[in-house]
Amino acid sequence: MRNREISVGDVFRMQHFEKPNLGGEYIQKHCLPYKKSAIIVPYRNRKHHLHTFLNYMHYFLQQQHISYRIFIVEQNDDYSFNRAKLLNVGALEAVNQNYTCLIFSDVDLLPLNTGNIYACSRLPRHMCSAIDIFRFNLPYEGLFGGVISIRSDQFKLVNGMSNEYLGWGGEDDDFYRRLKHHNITPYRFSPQVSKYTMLTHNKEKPSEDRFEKLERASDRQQIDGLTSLSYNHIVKLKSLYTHILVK
Amino acid sequence: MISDNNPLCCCEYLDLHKERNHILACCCNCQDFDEGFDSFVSGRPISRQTQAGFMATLYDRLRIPWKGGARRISLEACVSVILVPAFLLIASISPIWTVISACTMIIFLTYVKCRLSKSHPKMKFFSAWMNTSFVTVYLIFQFVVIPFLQILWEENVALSVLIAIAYFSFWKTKARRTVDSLSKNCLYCMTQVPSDSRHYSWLDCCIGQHNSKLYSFGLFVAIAALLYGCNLTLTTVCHPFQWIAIILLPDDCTEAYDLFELSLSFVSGLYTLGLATYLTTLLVHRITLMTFYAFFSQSHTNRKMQENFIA
Repeated sequence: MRNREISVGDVFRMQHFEKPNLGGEYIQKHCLPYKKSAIIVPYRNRKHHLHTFLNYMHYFLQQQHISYRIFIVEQNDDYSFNRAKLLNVGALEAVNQNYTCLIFSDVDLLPLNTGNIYACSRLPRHMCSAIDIFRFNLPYEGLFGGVISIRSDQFKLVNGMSNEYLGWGGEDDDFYRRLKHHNITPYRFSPQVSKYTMLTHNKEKPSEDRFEKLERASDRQQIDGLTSLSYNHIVKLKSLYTHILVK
Repeated sequence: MISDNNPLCCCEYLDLHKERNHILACCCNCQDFDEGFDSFVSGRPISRQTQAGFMATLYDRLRIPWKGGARRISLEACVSVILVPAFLLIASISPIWTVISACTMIIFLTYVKCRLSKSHPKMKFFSAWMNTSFVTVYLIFQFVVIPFLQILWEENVALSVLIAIAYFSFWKTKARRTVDSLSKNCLYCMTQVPSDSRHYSWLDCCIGQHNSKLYSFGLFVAIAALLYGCNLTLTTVCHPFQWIAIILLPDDCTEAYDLFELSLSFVSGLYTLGLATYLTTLLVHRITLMTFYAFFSQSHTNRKMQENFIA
């Protein structure tokens, strides 16, 4: 299979893909999957983006000949958005369903190169190093947000992500420090393969206490994460995705 | 004349009449202003002498505190340093203000060009304005655009190198002197320049055949630097796309006024584009002149050769 670059315009077109099983699960029929990928998407109140994402991602993922399931984890309250907590909840649900490869993706990030495989390797991978709105440049070396892949055992080893980052920013840097603390260094594919387009939306205001929290990142690692996760959630199977509603 | 031996403090200076004066007294005791105001109120015309006296006092009193006595700063620099950032700040409010600001600036500059530069040939307003503009857009680039973290340090260095080359070649252009028997006196530079020279107020320099090539090279590099800076700024502020797979161009600037930093960068990018357009017209003009001269001098030598041949 050769890498193919997809133009940004195609992202918004109606795409043809095989209808997945209920819950947005797709199993390869031609070859036996070695691993299944759980695509976990934190979400709240972005209906247009979700439609574009689902329409495009099923089409994109099915070209990669992988088996996958899309989990949409929705925050169902009016408090500040807690991206990391939603990812923790989604990851636990995926692990319960025997998924060993976790892919965390924002709903507004869409891959433009079919070579950017949505699967896990030995080390965690930062998958979106060349996003169009950042002029296809990487803002800083330690960036580990947007779209990443990580094996579930590694995710459990670092106690998941911190639940304390409310609002925009910081939780990805915290997660990067957790990995470094365990001598796990994420890597990237070439920028050519890691091209993404970001759907437009109004810029969110960064949370102001994120740097303070970051300073104490490694102290909190053992007590703040998967082990301290408290939540109620409802799982519903929709035709294109598994919907996890978190309260 | 008062003579005392105390050295000047940083806010004091010796004025036109060689008297000790203080910065804080800048608005006191201006005879010409009083006379002018008197005439204005009573409806009499203000005499030329009063006008000139007032301007001389204004130039003399425009000073900044400096060690060993306050130093004079030029009125043109002062006006430019205030107006260029002011125009950019006003333009960054909203798209309508951008249009208003741009129109006002063009009208203002045209007015200065048509009216004042004739009556005040020694005024260095345009070079002060251009220098302030270049410095302002560069500072905005370094302190507002770069913190968005979307520009690689290689791109930043490349831009700065282009700017340095342009500045260096303009400096060489101004420094170059020739000993020419056919020289004339330039009204603006107040020096002897080769007779084919032409004064350019934006660079405050006469350009003739002796420095024409350097000047054109400088213009070319300056235009390249401006366009590159504009492209870097606009692709940071706006949504970019890859044109023929290598060149990044902006395609959607709808969010440009969402945030003060974004809109300031955006209008500075537009202003950079305006400056590039102006310099391009100058370059085209210069190239036309150079081709004309080349053609003219060639036909001249041809004729000489013909004459020699006949002889």
